[in-house]
Amino acid sequence: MRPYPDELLRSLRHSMREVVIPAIEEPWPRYVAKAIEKLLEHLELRALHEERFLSEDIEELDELFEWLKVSFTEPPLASSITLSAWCRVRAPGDPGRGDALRGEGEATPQSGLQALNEANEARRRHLVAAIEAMDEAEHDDALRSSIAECRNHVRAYLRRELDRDVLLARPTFMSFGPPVARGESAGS
Amino acid sequence: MAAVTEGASPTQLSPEAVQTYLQHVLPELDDLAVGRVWRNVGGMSRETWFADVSWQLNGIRTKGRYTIRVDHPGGSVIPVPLWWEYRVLEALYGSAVPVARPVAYEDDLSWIGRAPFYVRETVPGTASPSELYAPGREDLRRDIGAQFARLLASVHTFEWRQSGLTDFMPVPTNVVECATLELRRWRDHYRAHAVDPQPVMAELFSYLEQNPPAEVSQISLVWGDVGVGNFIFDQGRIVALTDWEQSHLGDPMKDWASALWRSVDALLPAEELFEIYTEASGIPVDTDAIKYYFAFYDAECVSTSHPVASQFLDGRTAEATFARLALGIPFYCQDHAFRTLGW
Repeated sequence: MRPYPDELLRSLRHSMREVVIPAIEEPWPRYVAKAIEKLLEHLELRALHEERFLSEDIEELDELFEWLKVSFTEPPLASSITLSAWCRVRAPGDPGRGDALRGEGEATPQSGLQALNEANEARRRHLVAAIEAMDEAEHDDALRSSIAECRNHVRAYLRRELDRDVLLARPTFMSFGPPVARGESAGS
Repeated sequence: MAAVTEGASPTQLSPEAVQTYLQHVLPELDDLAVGRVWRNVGGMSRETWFADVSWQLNGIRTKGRYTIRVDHPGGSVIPVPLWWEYRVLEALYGSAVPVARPVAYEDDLSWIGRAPFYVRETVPGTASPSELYAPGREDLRRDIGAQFARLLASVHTFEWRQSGLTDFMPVPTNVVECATLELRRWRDHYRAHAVDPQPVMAELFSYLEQNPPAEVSQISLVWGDVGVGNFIFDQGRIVALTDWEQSHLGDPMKDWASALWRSVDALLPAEELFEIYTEASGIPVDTDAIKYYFAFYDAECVSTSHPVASQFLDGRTAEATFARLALGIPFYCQDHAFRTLGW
């Protein structure tokens, strides 16, 4: 149905910016209206990119889990009880779990985007568990350099994940720096 | 004690109720009347309201303003009770650290329909960064920057041992605890309120736990949330330091991280700020520690944003400002922390 949601959001944002906000003199309502305008811009970006970003993220997480599993099951890390325990938990994307997009204990997805979000969240939970397992394993000095290599791999993925998140969230950012340097004034 | 105005939203403050309360706590002000009551823009930790007040003094109608701080209707988003910042103001008022005069702390819900809250005098001036960054104000920025560095030195040389602060602030017992005491408070707060699993935060907290600064010049009162927007200036002078809710005892370098995060180096180059500060305080600046505390401050800000998000997600608030903060703060801070650490 035209106009599409992203087209409507663009129109709403335009009217907020050009008509509504300039007419508001009370400081708090004006601040709220500016927040709404920034959220509309964020929604526009989500409408454009969210589904693709989630798919990319899920694919990268599945690759990362495979890599970590190999690393954790080879010497010297194979000696770590906590890393071995993490490896025994089946990853959310493991084909052996059935629906590769569904995490453990999740309800049946209602829509494509919801399914992607739930699948992504299950994977992020699994990665948090991997990081916590590495924290534990790191107490063993003999494993420290191998863990550091794993962390570099995890951080490289996290950097890419953040780049995607930041692209979507950037309109909602605040700045306390000079307008010229940061593109907008503080608290705006 | 005034009844709350009928039909008033819990998100609003009734001028009549505020007037009755101020008459109660300020009996020395004859015929006190409250005019306008309005909410300050910005701020995530708590709501800040202003009340314009007039009273009779020697036959003349005198005007003033009071500030009211109150938790959000959905509750606090920081792991520090409201009384914490009130007691810090009590400890600092009258010292070399300029703060607003605290007037009264209140637990009773029946006064203004919200509790707890506290009242302090409003220090005339502005905290608005846009006033500093206006074109042609380079000299003002330099002056304010230099004053800021000297005042931060005053905060860090404040004699906290005899001030009553140790009645409620944990005291680090070794160098590592200067970072980790506070870090654990924020990490626990984050874990208690996280709205979804965030591996970025798991990795960041892991790094912060394992890499606290190995040297600390002294244990100081740490302001906590420092920088442009969190001090009031008037006619070219900084007249009050605000936002003490994240204050604690620890490494003074943490405040420099917060201050630079909030762009004080847009007032005066960091090297000049550091020179003025060290001359005034005798405390050397440790840039490695500042780098660590950049990431720490980012983690702290993310930790406050999750309670904001959870209040929005569980329906305690539908405010667009909460939604914006819940998105804007965590991703900005995570990105900033990762870049700081070269990740």
